[in-house]
Amino acid sequence: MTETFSLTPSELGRFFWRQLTSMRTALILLLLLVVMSIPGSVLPQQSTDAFGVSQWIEESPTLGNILQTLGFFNVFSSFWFSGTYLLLLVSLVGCIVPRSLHHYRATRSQPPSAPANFDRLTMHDSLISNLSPTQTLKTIEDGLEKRRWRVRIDDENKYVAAEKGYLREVGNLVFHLAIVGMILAVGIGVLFSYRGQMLVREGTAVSSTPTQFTSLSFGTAVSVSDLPAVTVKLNKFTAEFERGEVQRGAARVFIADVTVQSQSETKDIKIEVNKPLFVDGSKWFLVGHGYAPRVEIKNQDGDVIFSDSVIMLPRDGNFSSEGAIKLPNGQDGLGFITAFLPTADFSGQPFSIFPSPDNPVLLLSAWRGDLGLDSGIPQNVFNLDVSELDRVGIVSLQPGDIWKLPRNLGTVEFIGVERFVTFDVASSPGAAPALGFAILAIVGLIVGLYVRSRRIWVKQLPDGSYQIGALSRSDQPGLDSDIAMVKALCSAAEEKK
Amino acid sequence: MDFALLSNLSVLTASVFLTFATFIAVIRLTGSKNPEKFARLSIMLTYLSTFVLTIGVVSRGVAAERAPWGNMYEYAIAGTLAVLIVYLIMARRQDISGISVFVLMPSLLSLGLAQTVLYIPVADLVPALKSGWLVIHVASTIIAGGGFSIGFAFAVGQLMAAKSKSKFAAKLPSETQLELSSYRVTAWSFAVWTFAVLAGAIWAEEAWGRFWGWDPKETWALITWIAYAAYLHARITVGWRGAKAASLAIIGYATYLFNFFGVNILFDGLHSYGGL
Repeated sequence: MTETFSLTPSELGRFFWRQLTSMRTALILLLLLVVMSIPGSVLPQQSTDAFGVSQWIEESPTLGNILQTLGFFNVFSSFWFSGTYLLLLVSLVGCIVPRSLHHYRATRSQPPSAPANFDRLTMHDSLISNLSPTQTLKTIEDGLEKRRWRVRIDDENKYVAAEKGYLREVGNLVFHLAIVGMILAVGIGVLFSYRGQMLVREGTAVSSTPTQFTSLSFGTAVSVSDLPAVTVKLNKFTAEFERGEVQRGAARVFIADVTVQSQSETKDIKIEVNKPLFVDGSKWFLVGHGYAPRVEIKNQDGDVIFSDSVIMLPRDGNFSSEGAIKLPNGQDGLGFITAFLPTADFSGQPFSIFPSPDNPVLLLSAWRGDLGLDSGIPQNVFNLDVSELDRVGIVSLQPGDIWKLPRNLGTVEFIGVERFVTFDVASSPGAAPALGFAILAIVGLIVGLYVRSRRIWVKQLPDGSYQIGALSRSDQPGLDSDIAMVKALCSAAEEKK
Repeated sequence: MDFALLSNLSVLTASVFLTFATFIAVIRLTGSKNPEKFARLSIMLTYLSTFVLTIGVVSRGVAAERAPWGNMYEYAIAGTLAVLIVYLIMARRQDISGISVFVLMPSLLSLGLAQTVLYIPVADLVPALKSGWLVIHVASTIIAGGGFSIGFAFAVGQLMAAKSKSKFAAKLPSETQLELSSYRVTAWSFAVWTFAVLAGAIWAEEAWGRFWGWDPKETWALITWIAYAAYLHARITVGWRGAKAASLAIIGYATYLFNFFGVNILFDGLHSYGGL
């Protein structure tokens, strides 16, 4: 080991800090983020498409599991992505803080001395003045000061130094600090946010209690007790679809008429896709809908054993929907696999050809036996496991039709078509401060890009003429007008004389 | 009056004018005795094309009774219009004829794709798009895209000028001048893009209840933002100035284009309104 390469720990630390906070490192980290984001859009992500992830892994288990372990299905919360942007944040702060201090000092100091060689400045020009040397420099100083330049006369070396546009660097710094602030606001906001989803059938109500959510997740700083006491009753859901030739079947109108009951009031309102409901700090978004046909089932004695609307999950854009009805009764349990077609077409495999209920058909396949609901194993309510069951029969019904079950097991009536909607219920208190920082960032960006930071020196030469030099510290044009302005100051003073 | 038909005919007519403008710009670049004359003629034809295309975009909006950027076809024609407008504004300020081919050819390609592959007749919007934010968010991406396109053209010109041996280099403005022009229009577009992403986040919060959800469109909008942020830093970083920075501007533009074509066609996400 040679002496030249040995560094003390503090020197080494300083070296790494300098490297980390250099623009080149920031640049490389930015480019890394670009590259790392790409798999997050190409591969399905757990947060947005959990089903896609499991399907991907099923199709190619070996590669899938490796990618899973490395966080490729959770790119934006993976250690390598978070690590990179945290490094970038540290690098940014490490660069911006010293720069802020430096700029603070610069705003309180005098314009710098004139350079020896004006040729190396962005622009330079000569000036001939009939005024006395003192008057010339004084005229320029007064004129620039009036135009809010910071000006200083160097009597000894016979020049005026002036600077303007300190706001440019302020804008730059504000932009970068606001980006940091925004990321922090988003990160902290996540801790205080919650989000859940509920399915509501027409004519029924849901309240924001944990059991009524189909999914619910909390940030670390909030819990169930932070859910507001809100009840939402879905009175009616209106959906309209394109019936013309162009984009036939595309969604056109979704309106949920609801009655909202909060601690303070009860009111009737409409929730639409771009018009969420705000109530007691929570927002209710209309994010989906489907059909919930109403079915009444009687046993062989004619007693009603089931009468309700049944949520069926849409499987395609024309709302071919699937679900299940489960009526456990020990060994004599009844189960139905159900399919609903709003506009049924039987030309081949039955399927729906339009999302509106123009020709609604309910397909039922009935099964008998122990449904296993008491076994303790959680079951999917939309799916019936028929492996242990006996098949009873299969039928297709239109509204009003009654199916007499074989083996004298009772009757099933398809009473009519009803709908359900899906609400996302969310609270994201970090959004407002994040928005504030984002707006600040844009203001800073515009100021940093468009405020021109520049310096001007006017120096008396030995032959009695003057030289004007101007330095642009931004990439915006307009320096020539500054030089013209200085010249005009002198000629105006000459005319007055 | 059939505004939909008027729109289609206008877009077609604009493409014809633009074809001539491009053709003349190519002649100017490949060697003509009177380059100024050809440059002027090309600009005149571009004015004509832009004027007719404006009629095409506006009448499409009138026919659809909404902002004319609700699907890929409409975005492509409105986006091309934005490119041409930014191009003409720049052309008033400086001699832009050296790089006009890099603007006109992609614009022509875009109009051609719009009328063949992307075309769909006038239709209403899905409920998710019925919001005032459609006007603000999408319009600002279109405007930023117009600026990025011109920045891209300058960056290509810059790279060509850097190779002084190339035949075209002599017909281009200086490398420094191209670099500065590229920077100015790109930096401006970056600010507009930042606003566009912010407006999108506000809209997402209002429509979906989350301002950011790593939807493919959002992810690529951020990729574009970071790529251009890298460009802005690169041009003031030792060892990255010049050609390397220009390549980053070109990469940034590629990510913008991918967000339009690639994401709409390849990925399934919340922004699947392409109409394909």
